[in-house]
Amino acid sequence: MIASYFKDLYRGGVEGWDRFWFSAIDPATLGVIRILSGAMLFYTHLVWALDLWGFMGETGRFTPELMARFHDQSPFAWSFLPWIDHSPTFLWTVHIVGLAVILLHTCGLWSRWTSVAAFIIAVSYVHRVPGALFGLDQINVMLAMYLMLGGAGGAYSLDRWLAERRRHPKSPPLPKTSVAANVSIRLIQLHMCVIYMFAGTGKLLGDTWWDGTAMWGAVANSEYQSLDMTWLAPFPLLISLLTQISLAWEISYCVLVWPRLTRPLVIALAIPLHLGIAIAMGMITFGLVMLIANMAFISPWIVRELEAQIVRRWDKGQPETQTSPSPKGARHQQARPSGIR
Amino acid sequence: MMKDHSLSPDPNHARGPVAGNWGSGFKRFISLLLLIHLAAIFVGPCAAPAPSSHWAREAETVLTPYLRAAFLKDHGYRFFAPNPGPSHLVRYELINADGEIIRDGRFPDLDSHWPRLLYHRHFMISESLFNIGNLPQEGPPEDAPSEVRSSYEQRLRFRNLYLDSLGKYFAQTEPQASKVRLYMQEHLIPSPEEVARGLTLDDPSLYLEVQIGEYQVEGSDKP
Repeated sequence: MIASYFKDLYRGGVEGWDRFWFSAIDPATLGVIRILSGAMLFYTHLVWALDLWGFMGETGRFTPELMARFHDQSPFAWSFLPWIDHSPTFLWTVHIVGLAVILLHTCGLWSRWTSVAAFIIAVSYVHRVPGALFGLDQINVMLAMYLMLGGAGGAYSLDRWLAERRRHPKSPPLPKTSVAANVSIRLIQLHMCVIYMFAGTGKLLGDTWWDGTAMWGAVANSEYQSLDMTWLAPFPLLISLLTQISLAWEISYCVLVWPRLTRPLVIALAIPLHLGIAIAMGMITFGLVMLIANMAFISPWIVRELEAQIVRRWDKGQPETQTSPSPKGARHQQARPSGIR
Repeated sequence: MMKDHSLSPDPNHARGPVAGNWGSGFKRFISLLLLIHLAAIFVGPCAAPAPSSHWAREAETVLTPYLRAAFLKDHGYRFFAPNPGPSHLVRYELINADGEIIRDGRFPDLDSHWPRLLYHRHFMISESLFNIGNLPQEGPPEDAPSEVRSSYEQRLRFRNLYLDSLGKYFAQTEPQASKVRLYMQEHLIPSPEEVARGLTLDDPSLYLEVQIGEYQVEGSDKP
């Protein structure tokens, strides 16, 4: 009986593993994540440009010796920037090329290569300025890493659009699903579970999360504050509820995000929590990038439904393209459904 | 493996051709890589920051090259944990050869650091400087274990390197500066009761300041 149990356990585990990782999915969700996270990475690098030499230059805030000390002199904390950070001209040239590459990655052009290049750029920059980083950088790099696995250009990309345009009407249709896209989505999902699990359990070490005052410590920190939340001061019950609801949400995320019934609730609660961080605590970029990463739990089916709704509304707003018998109108209608998907 | 319950009967698996054809050998190879990666993303935050268990630190040592290469080392994901604490700011003074302050400033500074992401970069520098530089004034006693003394000296050297790097940077911005003095400010958070009684978040009584270093533009630069 025991041997039979272990046989079933092994077989079930192998089959479950195979289904979980190697099922082919519609890359629609991953395509949306690529666009949004690519735009965030682009913005992040645009902001580096406001003081490029001060952050990345050889004589900036982080000398090469300091950078190496931050990484315990490890050769594995790689970055291409130390090769060029002695020259403002080289640094600026590479930075502008990097911005262009991230833009191409966002648009999904030559995505097999630009996604890898975007990851290399993202890691090179964060390794160069180890003292100026925060959660945004961790999520930016995480998403860039999983987006380079192969399926991110399969939907809502210029690659897809060009492939559709170039495809001969008699040739077989383009792939609609991708195993690589599933691997990327699964990795983002599991990584998000790890992040929230440690974010939640780490808080259990602090007494303010137990006594319910931690939320006050976060919103009354004027270096973070971007919206005055001190009106909460006379409402200790509300402060403690907000503290412990957010803690319970973080701790339970890695379990409750998987079942069909609880997933929508868990993801819906992520919106006020991360928008609250974005609006009240001045971390707009971090709040938004966490929401982008949470999108990995949105089914491609929902993304396609939303896309269809947007297309329907767009068509309603453009009556001439639906009714016009002109060849121009006919071409437009034919091109749209097979457009960027 | 966990079963994923999607939001519609068969939403993910649209019919039609599939991109790529993964054979069983390739799947086994990918599975091995996935296991290594999953171990790494779990072990990383288990091992750091402290407290951490012996197995986590040992496993992290094995995985460190990968963790570093993939920018997964020392993350921990302990956002506002264990407790949201006071924030830290750095005030600096640029001093000329006559000992006069020719310029001073503070970072992060909402008035000069815009957009918010640039402000946050400066904020993280002041916080990381606090985390690295927050050492006791007195080192361990002479009879302390050698590892304790060695660890303290390493942290001291790291702190001094950070202060020198920042001092040198600020000195470049003002040709007449011969000295840069750096101060750490701790901005305490008032309790809800104090705020309800009328104390503002930026009340001067909430700021504590201590000098953390002095960078000499010429000659030895001992903080």
